[in-house]
Amino acid sequence: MNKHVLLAAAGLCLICSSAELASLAWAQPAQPQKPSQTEAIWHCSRLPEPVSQGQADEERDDFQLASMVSNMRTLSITLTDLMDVYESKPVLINGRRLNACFMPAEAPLTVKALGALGLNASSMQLQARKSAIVRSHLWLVTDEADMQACIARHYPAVGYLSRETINTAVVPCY
Amino acid sequence: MGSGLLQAAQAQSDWQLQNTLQTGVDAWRVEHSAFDKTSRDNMYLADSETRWTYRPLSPWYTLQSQLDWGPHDQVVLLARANQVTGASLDQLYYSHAISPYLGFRAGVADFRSTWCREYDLDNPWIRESDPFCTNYRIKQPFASAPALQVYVNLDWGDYQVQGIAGIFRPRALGYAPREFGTALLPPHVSITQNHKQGLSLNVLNKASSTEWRLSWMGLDQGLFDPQASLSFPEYAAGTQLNYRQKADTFFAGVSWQLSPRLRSRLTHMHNDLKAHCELLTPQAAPACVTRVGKKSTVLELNYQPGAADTVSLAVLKFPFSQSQVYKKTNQSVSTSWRRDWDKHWFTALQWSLSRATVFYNDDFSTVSYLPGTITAWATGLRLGYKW
Repeated sequence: MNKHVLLAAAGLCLICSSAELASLAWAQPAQPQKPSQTEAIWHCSRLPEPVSQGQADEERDDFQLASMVSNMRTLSITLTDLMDVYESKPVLINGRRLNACFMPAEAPLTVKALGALGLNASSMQLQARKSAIVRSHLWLVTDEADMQACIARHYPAVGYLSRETINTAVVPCY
Repeated sequence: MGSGLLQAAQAQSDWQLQNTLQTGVDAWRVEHSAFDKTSRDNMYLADSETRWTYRPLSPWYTLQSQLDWGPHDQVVLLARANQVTGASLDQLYYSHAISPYLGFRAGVADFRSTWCREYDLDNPWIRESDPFCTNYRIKQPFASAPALQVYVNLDWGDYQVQGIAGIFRPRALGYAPREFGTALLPPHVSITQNHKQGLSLNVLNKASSTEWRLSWMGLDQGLFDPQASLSFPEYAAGTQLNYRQKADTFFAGVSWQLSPRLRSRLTHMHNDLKAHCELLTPQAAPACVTRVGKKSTVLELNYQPGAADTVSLAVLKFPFSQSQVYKKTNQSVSTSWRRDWDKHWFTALQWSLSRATVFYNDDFSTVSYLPGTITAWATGLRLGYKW
């Protein structure tokens, strides 16, 4: 799908729900999630449990301004955010830099996930190298177990998996 | 604290600590056509000029830590240990981003002038071909040091442009009090100056993933030798001298995608050092003048048949000359296969063939290398694990 079409779709849908945004992004009708082995499902760091009611209220206020939150306490990331972070542009979530985890360019999941956004994983591998002049917030991983660990470790982070995964640190984004 | 609790604590605070540790063992078998230590050191293989006593089976680790305070501030630490370079703290600096486009760093930092990959998680090599990356003494003038740096980070369409400029003071904080070019100084010599500067520009086309880098490093070093006759037998006892050396080093690199699975890169690094000494007792001998040049050119191909495998081929040419005394040229061919297995394990298998040719131009007495051509080959296996 054309990158500009995706961006335009995201731009026109600033007040949509995250599910609606996701369905626009993938140009697929909303339907029950039963992914095939090679389908890429975007996952995000799970938000921490609020320690008090006051903090929960404060978070709700934040999210009215900055983003959205679901019952699974996932980060809410727009398509524009997603593309920006994988292009190594700074994206802030509650005042913190969003991290992006990715697998090598030849991984089938990478082709599915990043290829669909028109992004080039080869250039990400270059930007993630330690010899880069400016450290990126891109993190290269080698398999799905590594991807889960990366999303959990680099909070707040986004990545992709072949199966819907919900645990204490990782949940689907959309 | 368990990792889950640590993650939870970090998620609710302004700071975040991120660590990546790689560790493992390397096994090497190295065969030489010449057996003296000088000739073996001259081949730039796994057993060349190791800082620790060379062993065919040796452990290693690299540690990368990054502590973020909000979006603008971070502390970065890079440390490693292996028998080639010994234990080293390669980076420990504070970085502040004034904006997404501009920032500065203070602390132990590197020049960001090369594409050496010792910390990269997808490094296909056990030991890279370029002596500027792997040989402790050759790398020393360009190694990390206490520094102040300013960087820019710009996006223009498909291009990402990053640049950095810095000044380095290796003797500050006691970091490298005896570093003096590639020399190993005797204890009676005192260093009077060690100043370095560096500039580096990196351009990446994010659409084609073609990347270019241009860098310059300059050094200005001085020492005082109160007993020059100990190091230079041609000087009379009691001779004192001031020694000054300046060097410029340039790096140029380009890396591009030949096909979706095949990537190539070509790098060239050129170091030109000019030195002279001022004899404080001039009747002892004429003042010395030395010029040393090193150039390394590496052409590399990296083929990725799948996400878990990388097959690489590298060809190196490394000429070295010292004034009118002698010159030598190293050439090597290396190939490797890296595989990332499940559960964070990885292996790399490498084979290298190295050939060195030494020529004398006039003075046979001051160099220890044997003239002629010598060859050596090495086969290595790395078993690694990353957390």
